[in-house]
Amino acid sequence: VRDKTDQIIKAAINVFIKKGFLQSTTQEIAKEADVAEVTLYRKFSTKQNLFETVIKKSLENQFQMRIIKLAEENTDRFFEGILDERLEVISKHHRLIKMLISESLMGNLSGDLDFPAVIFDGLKKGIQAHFDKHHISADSGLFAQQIAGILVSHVLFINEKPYYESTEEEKQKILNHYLASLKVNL
Amino acid sequence: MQRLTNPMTVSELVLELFTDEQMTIKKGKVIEAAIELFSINGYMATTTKEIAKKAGVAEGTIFKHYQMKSDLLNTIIAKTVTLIKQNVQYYLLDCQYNSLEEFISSIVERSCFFVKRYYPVVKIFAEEVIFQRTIQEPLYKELFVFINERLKGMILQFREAGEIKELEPEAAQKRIVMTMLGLFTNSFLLLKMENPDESVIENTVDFLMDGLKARRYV
Repeated sequence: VRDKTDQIIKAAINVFIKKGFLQSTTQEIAKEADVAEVTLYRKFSTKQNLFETVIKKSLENQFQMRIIKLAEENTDRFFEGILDERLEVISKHHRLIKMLISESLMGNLSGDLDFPAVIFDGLKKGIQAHFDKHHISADSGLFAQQIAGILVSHVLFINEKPYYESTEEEKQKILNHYLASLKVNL
Repeated sequence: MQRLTNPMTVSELVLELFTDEQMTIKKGKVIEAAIELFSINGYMATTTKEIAKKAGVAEGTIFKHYQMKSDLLNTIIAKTVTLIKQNVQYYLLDCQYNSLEEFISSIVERSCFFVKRYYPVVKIFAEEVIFQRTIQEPLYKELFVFINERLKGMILQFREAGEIKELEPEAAQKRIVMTMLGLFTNSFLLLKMENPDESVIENTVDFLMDGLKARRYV
C-alpha cells in the first residue's frame, strides 16, 4: 500500500515539472503512476492536496518549524543553518523549484499553495524571532529579501557542481561568504 | 533615452519594441495578442489558435510570419533583450554619476521603473530565464556577461575614486546583483506587485550602500 503512495508522489513530481500545477490533470498523474484514478483520489482526494503533499515533502520540509528552532542559535549558526538547508533543497530539487516559481509568477497558486510566498513568509518570521531574541534592531524584511536574492541566484545560475554534491569545505566556503555579506548589515 | 516612468499598454509596447520591423497591421496584432496571452497564461498554456482568435486573424496568418509558436516567443525575447541591453548601456556606461550612492539609487530605481513600464514582456522574459525552454541559452549568457562587464566597469571607477575601499570588485558586483535579485523576487514574485513601494526601494538602497561601504566585509 505504501508503494502506491510513493508511486503516485513520484509520478506527480514528474507531471508537475513537465506541465506545472494548473495544466496537470489527476488523470495524467494516475496514468504516469500506473494506478487507477480512484486510487489517487482515495489517497489524496484532490489535485491541490496532492500538490501540497508533494511540495511539502520535497521542498518545504517543515522549514517554518525548523527556522523558529534555529532562531534560538547565535547569529552565525542561524544564518548558516538557513542557507545550508535551503541551498541543499534548491540544488536537489531545482527543476521542481523552477516550476514552482513560474507557477507563482503566473499567479496560478493561491493562498497556501503559493509556496514561494509561504516559505518567504516563514523566513521573515524566523529572522524577526531571531532578532527579537538577541535584541538586534535590524529590518527583518530586508534581511529576508537579501537571502531571497541569494537563493534565487542559485536557482537561476547553476553551478557546475550542485551544492548538495559539494564537499563540506566547499560548502563552508560558500556559507562563510554569504554569512560575512549578511553580517555587514547588522 | 526616454524616461521610464509610465506603464505602457501592450499595443504601445509593440510599437516601441518593433519599430525597426516591417510591420503590417495583422502582424502587429498577432504579436500584441501573443504578448498578452504569454504574459497572462504563460507560454506553455497558450495555443496559436488562441493567439489567432485574440488577434482577430486566421491561424494561417500567424504561420505566414512565424512557422512555430516558439518563433513568436523568440522574437519577443530577442526584442526584450535588446531593450534591456540599451538600458544597461545607458545607465551603466553612458550616464555620469557624482557618487556611488547616486549610482546605486539610480540603477535600483530605474530597474524597478523598467519592470513597471515593460511589465508584460519582462514577465515573459523572466519565465524564459527560469526555464530556458527555447534556443535562447547563448542569448541569456551573453546578456549576463554584458551586464556583468558594465557593472564591473562602474565598480572599478568608484574604487578608483576611493568610494569602495575594502570590498573586492567581484564581491561588490555579486552583492549588487544579489540585492537587486532579492528586491525583484520580493516585490514582483512574492508580493505580486507591479512596482515596489518607494520606501522599500529607499531601504534597499541604504542596505546595499552599507554593504558596499563596510570595512569588515571579507
